[in-house]
Amino acid sequence: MRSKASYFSISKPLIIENLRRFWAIPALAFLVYFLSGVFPILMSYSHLNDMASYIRMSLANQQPFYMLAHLMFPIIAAVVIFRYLQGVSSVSVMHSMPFTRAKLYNSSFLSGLILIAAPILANGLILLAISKPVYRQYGTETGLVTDTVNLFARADILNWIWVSLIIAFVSYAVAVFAGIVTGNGLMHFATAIWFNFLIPALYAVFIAYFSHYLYGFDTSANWAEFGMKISPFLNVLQTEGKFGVGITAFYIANFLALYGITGFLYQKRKLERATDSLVFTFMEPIICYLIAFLGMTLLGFYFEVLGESELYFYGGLAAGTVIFFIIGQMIVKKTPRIYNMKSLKSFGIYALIAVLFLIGLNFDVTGFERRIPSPDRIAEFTINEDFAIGDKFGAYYWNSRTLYRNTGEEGDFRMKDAGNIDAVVSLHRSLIDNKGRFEDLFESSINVYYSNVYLRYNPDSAIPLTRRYRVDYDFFKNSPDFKKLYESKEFKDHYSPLNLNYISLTGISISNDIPFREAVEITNQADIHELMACLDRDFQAQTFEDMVSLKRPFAEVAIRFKYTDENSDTPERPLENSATYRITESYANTIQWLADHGYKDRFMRSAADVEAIELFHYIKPEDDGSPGVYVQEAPGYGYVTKEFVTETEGFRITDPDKIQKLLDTYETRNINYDDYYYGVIFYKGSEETLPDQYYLERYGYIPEPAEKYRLESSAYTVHLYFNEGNIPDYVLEYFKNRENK
Amino acid sequence: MIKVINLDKSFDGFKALSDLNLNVKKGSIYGLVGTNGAGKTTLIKHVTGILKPDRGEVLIEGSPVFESIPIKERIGYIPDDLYFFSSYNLKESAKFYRSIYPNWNQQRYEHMVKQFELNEKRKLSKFSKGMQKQAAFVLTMSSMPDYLILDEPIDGLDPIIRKLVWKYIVEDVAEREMTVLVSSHNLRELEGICDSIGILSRGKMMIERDLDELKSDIHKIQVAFKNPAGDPYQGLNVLHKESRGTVDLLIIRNRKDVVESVINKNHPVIFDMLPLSLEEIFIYELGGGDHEIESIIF
Repeated sequence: MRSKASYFSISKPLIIENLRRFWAIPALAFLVYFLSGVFPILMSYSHLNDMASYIRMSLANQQPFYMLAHLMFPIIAAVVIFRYLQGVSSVSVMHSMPFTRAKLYNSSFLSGLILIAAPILANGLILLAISKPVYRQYGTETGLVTDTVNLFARADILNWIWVSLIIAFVSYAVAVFAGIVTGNGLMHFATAIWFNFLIPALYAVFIAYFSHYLYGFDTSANWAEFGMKISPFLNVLQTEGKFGVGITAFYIANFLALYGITGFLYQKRKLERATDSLVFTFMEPIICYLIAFLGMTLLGFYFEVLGESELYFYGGLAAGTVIFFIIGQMIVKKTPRIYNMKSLKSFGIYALIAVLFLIGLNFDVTGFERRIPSPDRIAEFTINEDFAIGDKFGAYYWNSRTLYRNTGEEGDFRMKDAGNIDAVVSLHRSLIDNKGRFEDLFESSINVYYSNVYLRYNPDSAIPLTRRYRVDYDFFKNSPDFKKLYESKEFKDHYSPLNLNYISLTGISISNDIPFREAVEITNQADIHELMACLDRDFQAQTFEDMVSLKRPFAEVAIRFKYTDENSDTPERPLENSATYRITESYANTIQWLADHGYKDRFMRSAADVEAIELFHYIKPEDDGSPGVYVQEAPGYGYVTKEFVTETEGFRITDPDKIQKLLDTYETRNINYDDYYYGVIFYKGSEETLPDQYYLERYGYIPEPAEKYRLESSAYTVHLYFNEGNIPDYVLEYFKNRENK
Repeated sequence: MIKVINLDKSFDGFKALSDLNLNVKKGSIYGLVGTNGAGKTTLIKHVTGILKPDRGEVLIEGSPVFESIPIKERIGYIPDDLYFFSSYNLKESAKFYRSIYPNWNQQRYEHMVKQFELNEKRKLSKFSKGMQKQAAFVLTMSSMPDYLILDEPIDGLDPIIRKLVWKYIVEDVAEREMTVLVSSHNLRELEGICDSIGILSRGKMMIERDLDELKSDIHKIQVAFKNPAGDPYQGLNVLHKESRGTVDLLIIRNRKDVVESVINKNHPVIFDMLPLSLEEIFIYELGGGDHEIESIIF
């Protein structure tokens, strides 16, 4: 009986011979690593802080030459070392020599590992030898500031060596696998590259199909992150060069599994199939079907972009199936003569599989769409949308992770309250039940204000249930479930200004859209805290309807603060952030505080300040250009000139009572983009506000009055909107009469 | 000895070898002949441990060859289509061979290099085909194999080198009892060297016999009778007969003494008995119509 030890036996003479024959590979790799990594550092050694970003990028394996080397040299090593398998004479001679297949395989495999590890280790050692403290410097108002984190530490270099070896070894193992299953050098090289990205690519393709077919599928969930993690080469792009213990273990396991499987296949390999495309006949349909599947997907989604109906998509799938199946067959059979019954039968099988796959998705055989977790199985959940949370509370998306206390690592607020859990389940059910409504709405030609709603249950579980639904504003504002969630104590306590993640409050700015009204700046700490307390009371009392209303706010409050981020490069250094709150008329305490401090009038909108309001009615032109429909082209949002206004057929309102009513009720955006009423408020005193000197300095000349409006129109005007239910009758009447003429 | 028992091998549904048996005695030279595509190279690849049988056994000294390092260390193989490590010269190749063949004889290697007048430092890829064959032979023989397997080794060698090659082979057979299995289409050359012959056709072993025995079994005769009584060839295994006037030309498979006894009984006027050459036996056994046999044999 063959001993198990024989499966791991190696031949030292063969390894030495391989190293001797292929020394050029590590030599070249060394040069690439050295010239792109070490050499620039040595050239700037006396002032290395200037190279801080480059060093960081290199050690994070996001420098392009490093990444190219990590991928290509392992593939090249695998191709040349195992090239003896691809020739009839070479495979015979090598296997006639006193080696077992296991010995040949192990020795060749190990030779390649040595060849690709040597340059990484050599460069790593050099980097360790030359490492010294390097800090990033950046300019501020007060001058040059130096970070405190050493970017050229030995720990980072050791991490670079480790991560680089993982990437190179996994790429190599995949390339060796490709070499064992293919029969010629060209196929080996091509499949080595292809296989290194095949799983993530297939993953992305499946995500594309799920996104297309499955209502509620969320492509922005951690799918992309998960897909990238499959390959260490791709994962390093999103982890900034650091792999956790779990993912490292996964890659090592992958490497060992590939080594084992490839070794097994080597034992089974039919040497007489050298020079064929594929050595194992069972792989022929697999590779052919993979090519057909990827090609079918490519053409299907390409046609979908070109056309307007699903027919284009299916047409693309069908065309792609035929074309790429033919190409796949030619590749695996290594001949253009594939037009025979056998190929036709194989095509039939593939077509059947593809049809079943599409039908399965179309009819949701797995029950994905209707899956809602039971409330007793939900420990916590997150909910995000851009109507309120994204728009009203988070000032800057990239700071959202640090905006409020008790926020998850990924910037999400986890809700745990039992009542909220019941509400989100009810909401989820209503989103599913209204699938028809949303599909009809978004597939029709109507263009409305909408947002994606993201639900995520048990975010810390291995595979959290995540969903994304496109929801229009009307549904959102009338949803009892959203109301329950957003008026809950748990929600209010989290998004309260008192829960902002600050170590110190820098100041509060209060402003609104009235031109040339200076913002109120509160910097006194006592005032800041007083105002914050008012804001909190008002926020806690605010209704959902008021929170999501599109009516223009009384004012906006921007709270500026300092915070620290333990996950940043500078965990000790205070960073700056801000959060903005819309103050509506319901914020009685806040408005009273402003009144008490003499600021309220600054935010009051008065007809006395307005010269006129010009209103327009926009109707999207019909595609067929049917006559008889009054169409008013929307003026460019860039500017509105006085001449433009007088030339177009707007509804000019100068009556102060009407102006005041409009000022008190206008909204800040339209809901229906195809048919809406909008206007421009012209404030008085505009010409005197900006001096000629301002224009001279900014534009180099003093323009005529009309042109002054054009150049600085945003300083004089405010855009306003009116949506259905909020449009004054006389405005409706005016435009109805004009449109009927 | 080399023993192949009931060997089957198929490639993608095509049966290359079918129930094939082969025996090569220790210390002998076995010639493997056959038409193109008969399966000679496939059989040799089994004997050298390259291919794994679908069914049957390939044994050397009673042990399976496939995946056996101790046996492979004693096998020297020169294929028809040579392979060397790219960019290597003879010296580098010898170094590698020395590291994997425990019986490597450096002295012999140096002697052979001189004798064959090969440039050690020149890249093997720059050698002519004939010189590459010589280089392969030097390397293989220097590893002092107990079993030498040659697949059409002599093609491309000039007569002087050819003679030298056979000299080495025959000497090692005589002195070390090296066992040789050689496949070739040069039947005239094999005839002078081989102890036994195996004739392969369409994956099957047609004939496997000691050469002397093979030749003693089949004869070409030319005979004429003045007044033949009845069938003068009764009792003989006449494989082929042709009459040219009164002279009969026959191929008979019987022992020589039996043939002589039967023919002489009828007092022939002309009686010439000639042994068939290996080439003639090959042609006769493996086909060709009568006209082909006639044109070659007669």
